[in-house]
Amino acid sequence: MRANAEVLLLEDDAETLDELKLHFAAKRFHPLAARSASRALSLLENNIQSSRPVLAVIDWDLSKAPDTQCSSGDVLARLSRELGDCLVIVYSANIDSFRVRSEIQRAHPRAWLHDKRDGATSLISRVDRVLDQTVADLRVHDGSVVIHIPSLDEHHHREAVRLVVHYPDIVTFHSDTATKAVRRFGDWLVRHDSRVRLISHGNRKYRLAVADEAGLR
Amino acid sequence: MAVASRHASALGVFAPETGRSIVVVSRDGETAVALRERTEPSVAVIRDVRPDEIAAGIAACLPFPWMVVNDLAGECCILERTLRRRPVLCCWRAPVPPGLPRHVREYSVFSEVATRVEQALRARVAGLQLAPHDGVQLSDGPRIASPRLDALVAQHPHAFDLPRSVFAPAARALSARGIPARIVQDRSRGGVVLVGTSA
Repeated sequence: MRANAEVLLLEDDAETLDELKLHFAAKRFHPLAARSASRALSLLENNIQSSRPVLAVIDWDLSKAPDTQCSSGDVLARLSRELGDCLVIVYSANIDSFRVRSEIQRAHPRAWLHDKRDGATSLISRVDRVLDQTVADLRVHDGSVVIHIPSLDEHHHREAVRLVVHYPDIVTFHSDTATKAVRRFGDWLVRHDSRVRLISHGNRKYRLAVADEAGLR
Repeated sequence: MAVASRHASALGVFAPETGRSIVVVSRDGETAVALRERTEPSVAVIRDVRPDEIAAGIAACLPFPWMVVNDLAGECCILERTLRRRPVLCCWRAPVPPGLPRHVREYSVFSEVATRVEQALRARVAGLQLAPHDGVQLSDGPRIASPRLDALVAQHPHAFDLPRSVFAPAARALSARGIPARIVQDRSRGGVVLVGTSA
């Protein structure tokens, strides 16, 4: 079963937003794109039951947004409270200011920061580095598919990607559909004799462990 | 420019979460920002709170904070109550007011806090070390989710100035897994410590 990973994009500049959308669509992501914080919050609201973005890329400064009812801080706070398993990158031209950093990290303590002055290419490279993780004999390719390196077999499911990019953290899954996908991924790992194993911590919490590091074999 | 979330209580820094948390109390957030630059969120989350948000910041750490850094000089009843009841590592802007438990460390410059956090995260005792996110693990074994063991390992070789009974759940976790370590009252070190029992 395939399920493309979603990415939330919040960027007030239409041209940059299009660039980001094209980039992620080319990587087989499903982009949830917004030019304003209130639109981003509605996208999250409308998708929270069916899907949860693996990644959010948030522009901190939204002065060109079509509406200013809500701020990027509101979106970050919602992500932190309700989508803790979503990786978040925040970029700003004022990222050097400790006051801006403090505001961002109070809204979302796990957010990664990026300097907007380095340009869109730098941001995209950073995102690719965050997503294209390797864990033992598994590799995430283009942020959307998990590859078992010895066999080159692919596993296409956003929850599998989520587990790999969060390694070694515990990830909490929020629906039966998601946990079924995670267990299928666990079975896939066993069938491929992967060095990586799925560990259940109960209450829909799972993490990946590398077998010979964790004394599992 | 974006403004901070209008509802302070909705900020992610107050989202209840299990896992290792460092509550940093300051008026301007500078200490928290500096500490965040040195600390991977997968190892410990920095909760940057203001003086009037201390209670909310502490309540969000389930079951209790791993460490508190108080960048304000002077007394603080809420912090004192927490430090007297829970095994929480603590760095306090000098001078430390009288009456706090003896395990509270005084600091004058940020580098002392940074060093303390780094040492605590790297601490090892009886083969135990901190696991990512929370809990402890043997180098070749499974993770043990015990916030009290997490605190004892991080505090090593120093002691907690608390009753030994505070650590009863940690003692049970050690015993259940047959880990060769004991939690003891060590007067020479000023409180409760974790020690290895193997030869």
